Amino acid sequence: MTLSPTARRVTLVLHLTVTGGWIGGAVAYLALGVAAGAADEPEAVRGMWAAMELTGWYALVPLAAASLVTGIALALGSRWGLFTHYWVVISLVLTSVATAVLVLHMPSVSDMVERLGTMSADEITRHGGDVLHPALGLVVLLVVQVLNVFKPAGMTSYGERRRRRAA
Amino acid sequence: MDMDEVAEPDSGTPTMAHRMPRWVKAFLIVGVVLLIALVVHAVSGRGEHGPSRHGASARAWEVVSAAHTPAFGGG
Repeated sequence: MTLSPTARRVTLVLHLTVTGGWIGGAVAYLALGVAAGAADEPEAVRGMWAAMELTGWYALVPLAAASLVTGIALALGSRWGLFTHYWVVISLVLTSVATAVLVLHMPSVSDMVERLGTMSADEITRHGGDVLHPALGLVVLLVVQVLNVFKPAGMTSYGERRRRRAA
Repeated sequence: MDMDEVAEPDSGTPTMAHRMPRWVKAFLIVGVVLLIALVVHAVSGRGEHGPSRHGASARAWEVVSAAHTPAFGGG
């Protein structure tokens, strides 16, 4: 299956837009997570966690899902294929893992927001923010970006078999 | 022995073995090392701040901590 040039461009625009949005959302989430960890006021910590919950459910999760879907569509609709080149396979695995970790992580953020409502001021300020998840997520997304731009050479054994058959 | 017989590759085996590029090998090694480090970090319980200490994981951690706390504050 190969996309027509127009369909490919439209999918590429969508993919770049949602992926850029995902990275931007992750940066915003990281900023809130760091600020929640540094804040002294319980109300400020509560507010930041509430903002992190909203950012996560209404921006990060939909953008991550859209990035995964448009990325798969682009790979399948172009000469690169989904399992033919190592860089595409690694990008797919990293994006899938990042999306899965995000979706599995968000319920615990919602749980945290709920619990902050019943905690004492001291407990809230001791609880800190959320830095590890968004920081690691950003590293993974940057690695995927580098792979997608540089497209390092190397075909999988499946790709080589297909090429030999086509030749 | 006929020289043509030697020169002809065996049609039953691939003419070229598949070689994984060096960058992929390096990538996999770094990935496995990072994964092991993350698992060790999670198991050692050092992820004490943020969501790793709330929700179901926090409650489980509280149960484990309570079980290992000396009942009379000794130690």
